[in-house]
Amino acid sequence: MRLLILLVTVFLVAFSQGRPQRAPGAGVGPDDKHIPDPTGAERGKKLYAAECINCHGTQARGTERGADLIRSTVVLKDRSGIQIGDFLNNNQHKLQVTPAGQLTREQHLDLAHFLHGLVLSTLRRTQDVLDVLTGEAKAGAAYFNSEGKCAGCHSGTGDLKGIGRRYEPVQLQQRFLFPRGSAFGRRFGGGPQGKPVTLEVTPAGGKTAKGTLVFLDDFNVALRDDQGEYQSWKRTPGLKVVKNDPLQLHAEMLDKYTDKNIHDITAYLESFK
Amino acid sequence: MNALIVVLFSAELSAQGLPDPTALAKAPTSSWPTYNGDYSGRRFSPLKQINTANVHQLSLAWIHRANTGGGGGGTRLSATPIQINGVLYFSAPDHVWAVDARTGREIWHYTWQSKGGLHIGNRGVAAYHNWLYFETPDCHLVALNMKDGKERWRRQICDLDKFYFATMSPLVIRNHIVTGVSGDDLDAPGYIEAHDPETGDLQWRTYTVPMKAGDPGIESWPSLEAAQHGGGMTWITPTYDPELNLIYFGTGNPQPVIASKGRKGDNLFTESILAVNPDNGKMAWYFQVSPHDTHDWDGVETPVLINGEINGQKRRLLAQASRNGFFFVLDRATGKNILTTEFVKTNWTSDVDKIGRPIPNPAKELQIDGALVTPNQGGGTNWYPPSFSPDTGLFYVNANRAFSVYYIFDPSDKPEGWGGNDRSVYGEAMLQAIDYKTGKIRWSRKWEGQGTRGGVLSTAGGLVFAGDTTGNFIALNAATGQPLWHAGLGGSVSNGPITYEMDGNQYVLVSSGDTLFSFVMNSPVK
Repeated sequence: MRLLILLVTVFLVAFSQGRPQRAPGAGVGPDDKHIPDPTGAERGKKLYAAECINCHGTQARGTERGADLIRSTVVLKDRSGIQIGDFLNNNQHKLQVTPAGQLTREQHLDLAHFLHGLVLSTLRRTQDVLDVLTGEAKAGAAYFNSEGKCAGCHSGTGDLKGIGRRYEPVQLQQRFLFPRGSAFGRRFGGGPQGKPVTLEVTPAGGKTAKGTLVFLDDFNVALRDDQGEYQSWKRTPGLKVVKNDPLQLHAEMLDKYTDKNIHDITAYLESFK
Repeated sequence: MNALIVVLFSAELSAQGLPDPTALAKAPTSSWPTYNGDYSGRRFSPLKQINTANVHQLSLAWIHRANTGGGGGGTRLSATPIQINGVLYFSAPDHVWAVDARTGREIWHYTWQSKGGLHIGNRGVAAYHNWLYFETPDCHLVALNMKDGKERWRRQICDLDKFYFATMSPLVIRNHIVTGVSGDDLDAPGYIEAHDPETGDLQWRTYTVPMKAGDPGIESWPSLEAAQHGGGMTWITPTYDPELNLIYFGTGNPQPVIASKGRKGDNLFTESILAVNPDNGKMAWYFQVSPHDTHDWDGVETPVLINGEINGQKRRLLAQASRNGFFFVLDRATGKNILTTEFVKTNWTSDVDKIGRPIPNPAKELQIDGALVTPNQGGGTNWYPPSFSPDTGLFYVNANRAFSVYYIFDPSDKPEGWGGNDRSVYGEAMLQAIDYKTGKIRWSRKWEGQGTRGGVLSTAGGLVFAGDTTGNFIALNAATGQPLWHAGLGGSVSNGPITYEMDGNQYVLVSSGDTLFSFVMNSPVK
């Protein structure tokens, strides 16, 4: 029953708070698919608990007594409870609590809201991370200060002070792995992206220009210097380009962490309140 | 002169638009009549007018912006165009265009009225006689007249209510239109079909997972119900060996995708390379590249056919750079593994088993609190086509070395759909040149930034054409990886480049976003 409540909560939260970013089912399936109404789904949940749960299970994924309703063709082809209602009314369903034909059209619709909500809650991007705070902060501290090489640049009383208050644990986990990570930027609207990459560019026989990387590929390079001036060069054999990425160590450490290290460091960072 | 040109253009085609199996066993020159150019999937052209000595003179001929009716913009052309008799045919979800290959001007534009489906991409059209075929996001195979884009017929090939959709560029083999299906939002079985080119009627359907008791592979699933909902979609156009009369294609991820508690076992025939008879759909052999995958690493990347030599013996080979980060070489007559090696460094395996399959490392099992895995969900590579040059013996693939944290969202005993997912944290991108005999990386061109999504073309001019991560389309020396020419497209390459000769000039075409770019080696003005 707890999992049923969890799934319904995920579904309702998705509708009421705009999280996750993509509405359940957006862009997939038929354009005319049943879009559940949360209030109707709440009524349908009670109806499901009274009428269906004993055979179809707490998550409607079936038991030895009843079919998986998430994968049911009747449910997937249903619109507004009509196909579900027809199925129940036509006595195809032998073990109904309420006899065939006695549930109302409105009750069929409520059941449809609930079941379609469960279907949509299994789709991509409709569920989220449960819990990443499983590590040992003490072990995380030890790793932070030794093999993890974190203490060379960071401290809980310096640049990381209060970081456990500012970020959710899952954000902390992804952010320490690579602060300029794409997932962090996408999912959390950008935010601090770590220290920028800097460049030193020296033309043949010329003066070295230093600044923040704007563009770099095999053919061209551009930076913005301390004065805010934009400068660019064509990359030629005589042009020397030195790239300094302050996050290089983060990238190199990705090959060295165990998953336990990651969970422990996350717990340690979370303690920086 | 025009008559002569028409004759020359038609030489590779037994009739207008009808691929000749014998001719398509060889690389085309004056046309690009199928998704891969020919049946082999090598995307190697024998043309050498553009070569290492003169590629720096390659010039823009024209650009064509695909207008979907809303004023252009927003469309991503991931289709490989086909070129037949001087006309290019290409597609985007719900759209097909015919464009003059000399000028880039639109001849006709067909729009499909969609009823839904994920509009993630469309890989292109297929030609047979005077007709074109393409798949739609809302699960239809549609036949058009080549001359005017008028619809001839439509056939449903999958069930939109079960959240299938369709993206594959169909493959024509004699009188078979081979189609595939896509989708992994809900748990549904994958399959491949053949249709009659005249009527669209179904000729055969072969499921990629067991669908009834006693079916081959059922022992690799905990129950028939799990197998029947086990995925294995057929996203990418097969390759074909006319002499063995076998098509080769990869299958997609098992379902449920990440959370796998309800599907213990190897989950055959998901994430496998299958060899199937195109006349009846019967499977000749399979090789599974990722047993019991939990990372969404579809094994659908183009199986490239190589006529090569291993230990001094001439062999009919098949090579795949797979999304799981491994490069496989098989005997394509038997499916027996010859080589398994990483083409990007991975961290998810403990070893390779005696039949050549990577063995997942139990220490990297996915967890509720996160497991750091490379490749990320996008994979060591993905759908975009690789290339093989028989001149260099190198297999070229745009590759990514990326890390993700994979999470289990649904720890129940019977998760369904997407009971987990990954969050990408870091990535590097590069073009890899792999020696097919050893699997060793002969050269690697690392791109700045991450996330290449473009295909590769190689030519007898000693060139490899590929896109980098910063919007450049680049010609590299095929033997060394040295860049020799580039053009900034304003966005990343979004399809597989093609080449052909027309009016005595060699052209190279590539798309980026909604725009098709045509480059040409001009002749001196007389």
